[in-house]
Amino acid sequence: MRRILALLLLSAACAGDLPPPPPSTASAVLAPRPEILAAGTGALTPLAMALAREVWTGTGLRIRVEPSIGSGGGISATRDGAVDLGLVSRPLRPEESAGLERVDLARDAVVLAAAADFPHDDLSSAEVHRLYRGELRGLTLLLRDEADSANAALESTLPGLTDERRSSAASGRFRVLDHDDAMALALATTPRAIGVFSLAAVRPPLRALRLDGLAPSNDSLARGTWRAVRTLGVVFRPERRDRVAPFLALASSERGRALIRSLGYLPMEPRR
Amino acid sequence: MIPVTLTRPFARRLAPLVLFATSLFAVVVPVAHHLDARSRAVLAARERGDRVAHVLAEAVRDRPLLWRYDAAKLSGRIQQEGLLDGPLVVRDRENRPVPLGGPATGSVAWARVPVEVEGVPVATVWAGATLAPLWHETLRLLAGCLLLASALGALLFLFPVRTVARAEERIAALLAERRVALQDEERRRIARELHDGAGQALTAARLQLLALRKRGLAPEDAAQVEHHLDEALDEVRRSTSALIPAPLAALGFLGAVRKHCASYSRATGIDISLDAPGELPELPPPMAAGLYRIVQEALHNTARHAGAARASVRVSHLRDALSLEFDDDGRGFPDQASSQSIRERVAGLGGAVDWPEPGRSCLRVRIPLGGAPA
Repeated sequence: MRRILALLLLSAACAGDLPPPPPSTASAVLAPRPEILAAGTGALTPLAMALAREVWTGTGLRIRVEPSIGSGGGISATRDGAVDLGLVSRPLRPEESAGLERVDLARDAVVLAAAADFPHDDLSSAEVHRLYRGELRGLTLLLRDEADSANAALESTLPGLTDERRSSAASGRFRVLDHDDAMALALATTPRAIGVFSLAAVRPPLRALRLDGLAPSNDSLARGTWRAVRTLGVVFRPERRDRVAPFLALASSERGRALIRSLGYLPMEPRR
Repeated sequence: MIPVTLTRPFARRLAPLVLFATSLFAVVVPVAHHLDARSRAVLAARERGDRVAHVLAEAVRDRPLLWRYDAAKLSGRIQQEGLLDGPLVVRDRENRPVPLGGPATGSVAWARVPVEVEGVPVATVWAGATLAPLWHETLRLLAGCLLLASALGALLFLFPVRTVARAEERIAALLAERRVALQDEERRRIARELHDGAGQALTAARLQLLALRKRGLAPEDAAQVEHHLDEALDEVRRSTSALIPAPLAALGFLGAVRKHCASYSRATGIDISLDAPGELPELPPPMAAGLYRIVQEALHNTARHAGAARASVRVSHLRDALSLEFDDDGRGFPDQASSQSIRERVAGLGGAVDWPEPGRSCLRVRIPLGGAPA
């Protein structure tokens, strides 16, 4: 009887592995690096890379821009000291802003982008709602993940669209892409596909669609008629301000602002 | 009734065996089910962990330095693939938490899956299976098995015990029959011995004394000896007549009963009526003796205890049984020994007796002819 009980207990104990041990509380500070490390939202990655190249050309300081980890990831990595610059495309939440400084670099128009085979150049607000509800047959909507700031920018101009997007995402009707590069690839390779995208990142074969007859551009953005917009910036720890100062100096200079404009973004007004 | 004790010892020995067998059944089935379901749950959790590890390995390849900060998007991707339907814990190589899954609460069985990229360990995934529903299911099964085992145990216990109890009653009845038969046999043997031995010897002595008196023995002496011998003979006759119902051998059951009723009526002044068929099938000696003794006992009660003036005896031959009915106008059977004696004799013959009117000397006896002892 004892042997049987022992075998039963042993079997029960063997049906699974040990639970996870208590986690380490050490922060993920990377080993000191000679180069500056930047990471965060994919919406700012092309601009950050262009600015990094200019800094290296002008000062010899290397700035390495990591693939997109989202605004939240960039903020966390900056706070942990894993990166020097966090790239963000949304306002910081109160619990995120403690111990960080923010500098805004540019404004980015959020657009509905499609490939050449998409049958429309212009969509009305009503058609966008129908599209998000899955009522427009023959078209494929590609969604961004819940945390993406592009959603918030577009949906601030189209009341009710947030619920429709969430409902469609929950139903599994549409694919959900979680990075800009994945969205660009999906738009280019999916027949008659349309998705939310950054105007600055729209490159052939993609094109930005008009919304209610209004074409998205830096001019319409500057005039305030294109209202689906997000502000791009960087965050850093104050003790690393000197380390990232060349990057910030270039971004606020005329040369940097011209570079930002040439890449399709709207630079921030210089501080007076 | 001779006491025969079989049921209680049998029940005492059977009870622990039944208890053990039913308890084993009630416990083993839920435990086996629990272990099987648990191992299947862990297997499913391991498969889920493998898929999460695959997603993580891709993320590490794309973002080797900062993959853990992409947790929000990774979590969304994992959720989109339906991999967040259970507890999930992810730690990087330095055991720092990567917030992908929800906290695990309650009892959880874990499957640990290492995440490797190019053979280098980069993280560890623990996919869990929540055991609370499984425990609830096991407890429900245990309750069901306990109920089933209780019913099964009751059957396993009561059925053999009732069979043994019936056998015990049958054995006791057979023993009682055998005792009555042995008693009668012994009485007949003693009667034969007294009749053939002492009776013959005393008779011979009496005859010799008669001869001696004829040859001149003083008549007074001879008369005295003769008187003593007559007393001895009478004593022997009385003894043998008490041990064996002698009229039975000479007259058969009905004749003996008729003679006894007539002589008893004359001796006591009680008006006894007898209603009996002209003839009966030949009764086995123990049955005839038992019934005769019952009639004697009933009439004895009438004269001695009941204070009755009239009594009736009725003998009937039914299809497969013999019926004896007795009644008088007295006070019943105040002497418990009489009624108990009648009960034992009837039980010994495998029959039944009842007193339909308590407080009266009315009794009915029914003896099955087929079941009567030989």
